[in-house]
Amino acid sequence: MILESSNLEVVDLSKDYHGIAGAKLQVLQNISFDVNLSQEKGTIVSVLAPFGAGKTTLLKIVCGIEKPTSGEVILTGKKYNLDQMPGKIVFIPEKPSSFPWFNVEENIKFAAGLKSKIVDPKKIEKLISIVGLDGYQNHFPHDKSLGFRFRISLARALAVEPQLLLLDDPLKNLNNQTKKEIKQLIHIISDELHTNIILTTTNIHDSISISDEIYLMKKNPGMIIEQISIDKLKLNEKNGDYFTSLKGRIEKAFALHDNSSLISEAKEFQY
Amino acid sequence: MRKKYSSQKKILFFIISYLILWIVLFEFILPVNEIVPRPSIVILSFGALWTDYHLPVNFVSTISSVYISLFAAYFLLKILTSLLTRMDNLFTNFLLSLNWFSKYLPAIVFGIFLIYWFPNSNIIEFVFAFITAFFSLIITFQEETKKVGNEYLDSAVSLGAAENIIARKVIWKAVQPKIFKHLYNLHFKIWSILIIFEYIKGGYGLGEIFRLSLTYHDISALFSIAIITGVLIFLGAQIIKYFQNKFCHWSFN
Repeated sequence: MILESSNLEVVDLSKDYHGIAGAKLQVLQNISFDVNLSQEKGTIVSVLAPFGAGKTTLLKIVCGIEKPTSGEVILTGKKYNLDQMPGKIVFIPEKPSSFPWFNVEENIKFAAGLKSKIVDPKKIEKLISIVGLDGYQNHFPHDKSLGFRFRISLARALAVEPQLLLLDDPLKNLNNQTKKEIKQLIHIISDELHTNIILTTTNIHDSISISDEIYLMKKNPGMIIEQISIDKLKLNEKNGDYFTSLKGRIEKAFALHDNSSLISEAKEFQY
Repeated sequence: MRKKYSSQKKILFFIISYLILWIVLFEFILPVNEIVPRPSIVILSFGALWTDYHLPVNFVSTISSVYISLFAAYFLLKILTSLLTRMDNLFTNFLLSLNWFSKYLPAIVFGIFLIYWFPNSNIIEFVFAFITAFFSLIITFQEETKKVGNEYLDSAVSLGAAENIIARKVIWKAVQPKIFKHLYNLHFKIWSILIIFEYIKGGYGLGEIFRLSLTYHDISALFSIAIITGVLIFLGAQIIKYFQNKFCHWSFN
């Protein structure tokens, strides 16, 4: 599965937790995939999995917040280490993570200040504009919508100019209009800023519509069961046959690889 | 339609009612007694407090001990945030043991020991208030630090923020509303124990005025100093509230 041209390689990642009375719980098992970070446009990869499959744990390990039990993450040929390569891979958690004690501008300045001591106000202005928060520089996020807070987190993450962005279920709990806007924003970041993105989702429709590549992940333990590349041209055809066939393929993959409880969960995906 | 009043207005209404009731009952209706003094005598005794009971110096002594100790404890905690977040389990256990002691041994007991050890010190009152405030704040800080949302910490770590930056700009900011809330409540506690401390120790402070007015059996002075103490505590609480609103406005949601 590992390609020579890949820039991010996730190799045989496994993660065990020790529960009550020392019982071992395997969350992730031999996860391997790769993302080409050197394409002209950024790549959007989604990890599609049911709830509790270990998606968040996977992202946390990839960005170095958590340590794997075994396996490694290789970034542009070197073993990735958060302390030695800060800001290269940035993780945006599922819960709103914009700091409520800072306003929009201060949130972004926080991150920009980590990159360089002198923060360029034009850069902050540009980031605010990219995420669509013009005129909201002095607004605080605590009483704003999930979409607003996600935009701040996104601008803050972009302030450190990461090679790879990890978005944990970014479209969850959003209304249709906001979801559409956030999807567009993710595409802008990928296409125009050439930022590569890995996102997780439980939603087949979101996964197909936003990604260049999809990794299907089953649970108990979390394992990659299939890789699907999306043909954007075919996806944009009006008859929707391609979408239907992809959806069928995904459902079949989950049905084949997982137990009955997972199949029933797969049925609960929102289309 | 019934008019709606805010709770603050209702409380103010009650306070004014008590005042009017006191004036009407004890100035005009009831005879002079040893239980509640006449309002006019209480007003006159404010002058006596100034001269006979040395109100200015005692006032300054208590006020400075309460507020300097509170703010010094707050700022020292802020300075030490980075260090405290990196402290190991040993220090946390040390704090927990202090917390355990403080449940069963009121702070004033420690104050009595200080009075015994340093009977002639003029700054021991401040030291007592500072130690009480600082350890109370530090225990709250340690407890609240554990509750800081992982989403904030994970984001900051992932962005590549160093430990001291996370401590100052994430952890401290996240716990600041709880620290202010605790400071607000602690403010009342410090006032109480400091008045008791001054009462026992003697020397300077509003507690000393309480002690002297009891010794002289001066009910009007007792009333006057009680009113002054109440007003000062009220004003102090308002100042803390003001800073709480200024720095932690985002937490009132």
